[in-house]
Amino acid sequence: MVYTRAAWRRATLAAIALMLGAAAIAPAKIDLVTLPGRDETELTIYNSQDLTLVRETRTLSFAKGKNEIQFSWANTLIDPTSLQIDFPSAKGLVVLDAVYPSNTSQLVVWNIEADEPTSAQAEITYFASGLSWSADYVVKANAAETEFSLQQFTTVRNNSGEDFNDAVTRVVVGEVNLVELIAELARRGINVGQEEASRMVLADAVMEADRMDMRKSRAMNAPAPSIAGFSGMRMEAKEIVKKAVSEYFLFAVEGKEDIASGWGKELPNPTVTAIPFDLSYELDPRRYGDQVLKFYKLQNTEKHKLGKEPLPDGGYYVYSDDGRGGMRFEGNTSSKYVPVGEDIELNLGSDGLVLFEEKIQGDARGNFDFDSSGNVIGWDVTRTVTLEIKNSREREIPFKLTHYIDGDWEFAKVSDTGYERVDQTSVRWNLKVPASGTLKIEYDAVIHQGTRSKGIAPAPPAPMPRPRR
Amino acid sequence: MKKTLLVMTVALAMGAVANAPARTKLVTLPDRSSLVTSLENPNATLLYEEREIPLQQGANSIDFAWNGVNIDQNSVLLELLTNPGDGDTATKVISTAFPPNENALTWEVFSPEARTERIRVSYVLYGVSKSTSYEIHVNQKETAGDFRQYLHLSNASGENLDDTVIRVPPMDDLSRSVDSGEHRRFVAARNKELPIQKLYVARPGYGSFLGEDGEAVDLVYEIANKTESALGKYKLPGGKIRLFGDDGLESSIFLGEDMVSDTPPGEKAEITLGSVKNVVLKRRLVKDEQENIRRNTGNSVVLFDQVRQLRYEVENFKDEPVTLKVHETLSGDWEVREITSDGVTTEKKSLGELVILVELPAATKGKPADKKIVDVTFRVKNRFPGEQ
Repeated sequence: MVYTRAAWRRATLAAIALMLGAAAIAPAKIDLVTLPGRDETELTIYNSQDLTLVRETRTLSFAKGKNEIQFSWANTLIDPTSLQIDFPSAKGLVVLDAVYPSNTSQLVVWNIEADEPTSAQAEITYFASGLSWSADYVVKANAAETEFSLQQFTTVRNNSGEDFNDAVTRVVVGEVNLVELIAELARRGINVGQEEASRMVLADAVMEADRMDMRKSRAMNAPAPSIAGFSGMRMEAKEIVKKAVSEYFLFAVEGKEDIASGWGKELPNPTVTAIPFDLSYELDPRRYGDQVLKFYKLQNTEKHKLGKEPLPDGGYYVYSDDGRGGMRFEGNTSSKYVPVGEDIELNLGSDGLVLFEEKIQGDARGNFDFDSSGNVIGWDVTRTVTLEIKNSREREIPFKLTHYIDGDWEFAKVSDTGYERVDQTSVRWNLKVPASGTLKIEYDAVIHQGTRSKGIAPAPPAPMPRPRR
Repeated sequence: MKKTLLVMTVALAMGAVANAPARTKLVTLPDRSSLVTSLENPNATLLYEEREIPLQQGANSIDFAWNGVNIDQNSVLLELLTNPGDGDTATKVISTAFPPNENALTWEVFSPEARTERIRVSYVLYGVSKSTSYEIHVNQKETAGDFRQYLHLSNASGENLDDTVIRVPPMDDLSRSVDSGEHRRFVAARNKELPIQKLYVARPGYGSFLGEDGEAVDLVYEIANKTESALGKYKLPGGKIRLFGDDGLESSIFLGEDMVSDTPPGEKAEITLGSVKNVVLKRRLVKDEQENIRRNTGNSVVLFDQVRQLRYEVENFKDEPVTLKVHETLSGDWEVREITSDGVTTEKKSLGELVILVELPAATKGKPADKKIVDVTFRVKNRFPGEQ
């Protein structure tokens, strides 16, 4: 029996050929006259790796006895070791083996034993490279910078070489470990040997676990109901169902998407409005450098109208009402994955309106210790410092100042503004700086040197640095 | 030269998706009703435009494409202004599609009925930069000047900003066109009688005593970003400042220029215009001794106080009194022990800087200038050997 090639897709992925009753792999590759179309395609896209788990469902007919299912692809990066076929709802079908012919690297043939003639839905799963997703957020703050609206977007980009139509799309947040890159496995193809065989066993195990997860979560992926009168056009932005799976978090996009090769598609989540947040200007030289930075801060909690699920890492574009009927671009920033309950810090950079100046006003030595030979082995330095925050905004601003003093020290005198000694080397002030004004903090810190320092071995006197010319 | 293009298309088949070929079906090119160029962010320029667009019931596609301009694709945002929200009657953005190898995107917009929607499209555009410069025309007495603050706008974005509202608070909005490749300058603020303090300033090097050769003395004008100067409400951004002087001949001369840094409200800015010859400063180290010396058992010095006496010989050859401001650089735990002359005040700026102000009388015509000699003695306590 000779079969001729049927319609060949542009990207030529997933041509399935069925040889009815064939006893062995025929020397010539043959394709089914009627290519069984995909009943359903499901994409599970990871963001920590170039990895997409593709699950496609096709209805196939089988004759009693041994059947061959041939699956080939081209111009698409598929890890051949990941290919699996399963018949979750059919009885009397046994996958005998999978054969990777020696003369081609982009083809697999499954030998299926059927107890009797039947038609069954086959699930074919594999790892593909080239699909990616990202989370993006748009933040719009009110003019007073007390509340903002937050809209999350999920963007899927398809550079796989394959068009996916009517695909159920799910994206996964979390770090997944891969022993080898999918793209690399796809380029290499099957190289049968001991090492490869062990990889395939590993891949089988991983795939089986994923398939079990998929079955559990399939209920989430039902297509969106059509709205009468609009021929299936949705009236709502698609809901994105969110669900924790082990240490990962799954975002399942409602309904089905067409994502052509080369295209990207961004899907909005509903906007959360009137989220209270804290405006904060901060200086922390060892964390952020010498510039005063502006932050929007909140927590991923119900108090902040969030807290239902983690926020995937992603880019934030932040705007505010400019008070003139328009909008101001506050900046774009990125944020790490934020679990429920965790702080969200949107670092907007410097707006140039708040400046900081530190001046050392005194460095007096005293309380000398001498050894038996009369050499200096310990002393105190009383350092007098002024810290000035200059606010050019026409509103009072909160300012968090983290200031560092190295060594064994304590304050002898400090401005009555309240402070927190964070650790041995840092102290923090939470301040309010008046509109178009300056706030000054002054302190005297006694820094113990040599034997005056607790638990620190005596050090020889170090000369004071000479000022620059 | 228009480089961005907003195109309305309507997907004729209901339920068509944004990346369908329908994107090529031009229905209307809606007129832009306003364009705002917001330069408030110091690092990026935000453009947003509003248009009225007709929507059909059901699916509509809106294409936004650009060519030859550097737009941050991730920043392009569509807002629905007439019927926003999540309710049944709202217009909604269903998805955004990004075609391959194109600077373009397509919004899939759903409208529950045929109607007109006002939309706002915003994006971050690179290549538009702003800077600030200043000009002061100083009066003949050099006590005040006509102060102008300029905003410079350079458009290298590739996009013509036609009839745009330029928004750079605290300035009032400006309505202008700024073509690509064009540089425009606007008056951002003006004060015709800005008070000016004229100073003579020396900044001698630490430990460098030029003696008879004399120290450089610069002409400096000081302006205050304060309410009494009719300023003081906003920060004066850093930039170049040029000064011109009334020459008394119904014309003016260029006095010089300087770069000033950001000057917050309440602060002063110093404008240094170059060296002067009519005020002379000679600075010498006349004493460098150790006191309160402590030695170890091997008779080596382990601790001492350093006493330094600096002499400032100042001459004013101008026929008006002047104030010389000397920025003296110091180190260690110092104090001023003694000043030998009247008309001298000091101000400790920091541990490393002392400002000495010397008032000098006007020179008398036909007579040599009076030389004022000021000795200032510093004591630096608890020096270790090797420290200077």
